[in-house]
Amino acid sequence: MKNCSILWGLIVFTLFPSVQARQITTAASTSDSLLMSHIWDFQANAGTAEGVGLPDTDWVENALLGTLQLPGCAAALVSANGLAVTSAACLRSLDTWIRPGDTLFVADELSQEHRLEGLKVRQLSGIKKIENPGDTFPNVEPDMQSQIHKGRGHGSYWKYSWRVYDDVRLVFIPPIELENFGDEDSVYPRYAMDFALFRVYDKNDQLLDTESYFAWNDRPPRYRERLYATVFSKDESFTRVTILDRFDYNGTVSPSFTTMYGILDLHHSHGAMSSWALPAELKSLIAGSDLSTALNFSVAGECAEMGVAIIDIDMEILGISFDNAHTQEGLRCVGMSTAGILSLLRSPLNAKNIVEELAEQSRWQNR
Amino acid sequence: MNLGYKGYIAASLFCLAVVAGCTPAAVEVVNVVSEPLIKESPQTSTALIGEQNSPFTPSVDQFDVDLGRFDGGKMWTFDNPPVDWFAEEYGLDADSAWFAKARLGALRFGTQCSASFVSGQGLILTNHHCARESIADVTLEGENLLETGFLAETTSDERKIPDLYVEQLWEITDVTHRVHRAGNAVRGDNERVMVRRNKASEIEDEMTLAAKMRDSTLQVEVVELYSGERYAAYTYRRYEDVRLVMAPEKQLGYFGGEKDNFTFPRYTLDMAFFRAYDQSGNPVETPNHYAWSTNGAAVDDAVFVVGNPGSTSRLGSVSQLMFERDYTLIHQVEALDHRAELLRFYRDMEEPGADVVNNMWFSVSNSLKALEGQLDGLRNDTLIARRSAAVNQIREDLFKSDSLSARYGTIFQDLDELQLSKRAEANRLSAFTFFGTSIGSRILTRALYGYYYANLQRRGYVDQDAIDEIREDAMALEDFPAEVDQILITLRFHELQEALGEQDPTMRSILGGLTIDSLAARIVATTVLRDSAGFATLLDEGFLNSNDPVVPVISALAPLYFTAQRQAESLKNREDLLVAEFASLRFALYGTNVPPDASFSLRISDGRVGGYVYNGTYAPAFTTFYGLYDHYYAYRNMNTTGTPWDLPERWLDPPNSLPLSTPLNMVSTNDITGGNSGSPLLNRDLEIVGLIFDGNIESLSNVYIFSDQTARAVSVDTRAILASLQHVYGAEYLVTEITESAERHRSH
Repeated sequence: MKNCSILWGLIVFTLFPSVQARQITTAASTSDSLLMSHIWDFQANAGTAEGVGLPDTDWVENALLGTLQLPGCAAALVSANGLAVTSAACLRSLDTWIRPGDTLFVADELSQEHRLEGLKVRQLSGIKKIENPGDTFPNVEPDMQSQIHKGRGHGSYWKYSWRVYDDVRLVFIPPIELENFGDEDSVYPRYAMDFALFRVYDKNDQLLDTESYFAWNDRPPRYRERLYATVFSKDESFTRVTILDRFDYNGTVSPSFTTMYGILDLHHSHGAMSSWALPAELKSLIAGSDLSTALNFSVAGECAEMGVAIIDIDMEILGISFDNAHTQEGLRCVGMSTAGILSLLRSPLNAKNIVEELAEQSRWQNR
Repeated sequence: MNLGYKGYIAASLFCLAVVAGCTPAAVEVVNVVSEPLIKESPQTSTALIGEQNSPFTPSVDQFDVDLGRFDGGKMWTFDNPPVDWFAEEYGLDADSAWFAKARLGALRFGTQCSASFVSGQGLILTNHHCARESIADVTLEGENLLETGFLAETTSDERKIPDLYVEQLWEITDVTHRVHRAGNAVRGDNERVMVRRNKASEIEDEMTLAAKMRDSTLQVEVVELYSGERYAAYTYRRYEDVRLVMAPEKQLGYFGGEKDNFTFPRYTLDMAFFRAYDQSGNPVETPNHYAWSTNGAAVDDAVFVVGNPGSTSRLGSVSQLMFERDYTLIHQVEALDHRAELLRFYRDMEEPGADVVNNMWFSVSNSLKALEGQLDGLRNDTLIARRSAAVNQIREDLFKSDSLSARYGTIFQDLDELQLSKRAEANRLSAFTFFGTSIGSRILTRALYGYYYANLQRRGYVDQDAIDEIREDAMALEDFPAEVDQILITLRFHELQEALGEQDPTMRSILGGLTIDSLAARIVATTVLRDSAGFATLLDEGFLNSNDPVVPVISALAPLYFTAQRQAESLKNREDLLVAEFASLRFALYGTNVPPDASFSLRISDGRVGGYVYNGTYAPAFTTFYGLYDHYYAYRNMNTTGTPWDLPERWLDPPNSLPLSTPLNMVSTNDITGGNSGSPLLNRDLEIVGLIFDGNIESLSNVYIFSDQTARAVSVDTRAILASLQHVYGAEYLVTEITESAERHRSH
């Protein structure tokens, strides 16, 4: 999906001006009904906590706190130092996007990071159950916002408090030829490197210090694995439970994920005059990576937003959403795998510091 | 004369073979349904659940119908080559020498496939899926050549395949007049069909005898074209000593398995090499072979397929198509769907005997995929509208001529009325869809054989050979696990009950007061027909006099079945004659401008290399070895016990010398169908650039009307064949043999 709508992002930012800044996030205050209100099975929009395997309220809270919002999109925090991953299209479609244009950008040193002027992101800082949705709250801090969210199907209301950050710096974005490989849209099987990394800084020019982030895991998602994605919608938030499965297409079944080999297959198959043609340096970039690495995958059901973390039961991030594909079974969410991201950063680009930062956070790596 | 891939296999079964498409399915589907009980074989087509009203005349004007010049396809015969068209479209000056060369390099391979000579020393190229049976036949104890592949180190290691032959089309003689004259001498539809068939076979024998006087390797076959409007005697040179030279592992030859059948993009090395030997045991000299193109084809290149397409139905009426859509296909799909589901359920339980069930399931789901593709095609209103526009054009042209009007004026109405008669019978016949074929319950099929066998003996039928053959066929059925037989019997009884009604006397007599479930359970628990051994004993002791619980069932069912079959046959004969009339009219109007429907005889089809729009994007004309690895790694995690995209050991770590960017499979717009498997894809210089092995899913409805918008023929690129021989299989002598032939060709 190339035209990530930035509409609702603006609505949120304008309709819910900052009003209050009390930190109220505790398991006790949120209670089990928060958990219940967050479950959204991709099949039935229903289910029980046990049925879909959401562990507990803490799990949901962490997922909420690790998710950033930016205009029209989401992003996932992946380190304690404010590093976040989103869809490249989410950044390139920003009104304020100027540099680095369509080319590859890598900042392996903090000093090389490029500030994205005008971009604001916000992170949830607290949730509180409220009785009267009409209540208003006085504005306390200028960088705080709040918003009333409906509980899913329970008639309950929750006040979400947000902290807004306006110092956001680009860390990595692939060249547009890889992001838009083949100029394909709403298609799966897919071979696009649609992701970007950025870092959030606080108002004191310091790296965002956060306890809530998704541990990086560069294993490919497993066939029939349950996956989760937490989404903030206009007036609600929910965790969707989905599954990495295959579907009937084109007389066969889709692969559960695609690999980097496919990029070179399409490059050579379609030829030099096609949208799949890569300049020599990008071809060698891809050829230098581990080609068997998982690249894109698709999960059951539509993704509500792009840049959303797709995580496993251990809350480790396996990918981010970047498109919805039209299939015989309706829309399916297409994800960029963390494995594919790392394979590009690792051997061909040798972005040691970024890789190390991600790896340090990876519980899986440390096992 | 050739009615199908195997002698007298009834037309209805032949239809199914056709249904299989040109693909790996062809082999399997033929296996599935190639076991008709007896000559009066079942009309599988007519099944009906719920009467449907479909007007015969669709409102054509609601569509923007573009009456395609090639709606009738491009399967040209060699006695009417489209010289002008080739010149117009490709600027190709194809003279008789060009067509002769195109014809003589091509082969019919066994009874189901095509092939070609690719060197001067009798080297033959065909598909791995066409070679499977042969590979199994020459596998020695301790070997598993299907899994491991095979490469003869030297010619002396090449292994002779028992009973395999290939045929080269030597000459074509028009014998229409003789056949028609015989047919015109009798009255009655059935009689005339019979007389024509007999005459054709008489001419076949007579000409074969004469040809063999000249050359003992010659063999004549009379081919029916334009639904009997034309008959042509095809003289073949038959090579009866054919030896296996090279076959890749099944994992390469059938990469993607049943799942990827009819799919493109595709990454399959569906190839195998054989060699023809002469009677003195030397490789035959084959000056008429195709040179190997080492450069391959490029997008938009003109390419030609020379092969033996099995069957198409492009020249009938709109009402026939609608009957096909509303009755035949729907109920075949339904019957296969139920069976596929039951078989899959059993297979997934991983009980003993699951292998047999798994193979059956593969075949059934393969046929199902093909039939569903055809049904989808017919449900596309544009397709019916295009056929309708074509028929209207014929009508218009007909009425311009008084003499033609007088002779053919009622043909449209006659065909429409016949469809009404078919509808009236459809309900009862539906009960027997796929009855007596090998995808049914083994117990019931054996019982039907037993019933027929016993009756022939009782009636003092004298042809002992025929009786033995029936017995042999019956004994060849593999055993099913009892549970599978039980679910298939139960399904059949339900189908019968639905078609005949609960109060039907035959149904009541079959059930004898029991429920379907308990009757099926009782049969399976006590019959001796569960395995071949028990069946053989019973045949000897007298099947009908035994106390086996299946005897009363089949004694009630079989007469109904045979009556239905005779009625179906009678309708079929009537239809054949009307269709022949219709074809005769077409022929009077257009001559050979429209090629005849496919007939498993040699055709040349032109087209161009090119991708197409699919799945919201664009399918490239070529795929590469990179894609093979993409698929291997991408599907690997789906199943711990292996997937159809698994690779054998030697392919996991290919030598660096193998460029992964080598084109592997390719697509072109040629008109092909089942039987074309193994056909060469040639460039304008008649060099081989590809090896046809499948059609894409979009091509399935081409059985009814040809379109090259998204329908494509899928082939293995010869560059991939050469590269894998050279870099992966180390088949140096083959590479030398192939490339030297190519060099000699270029230096001429």
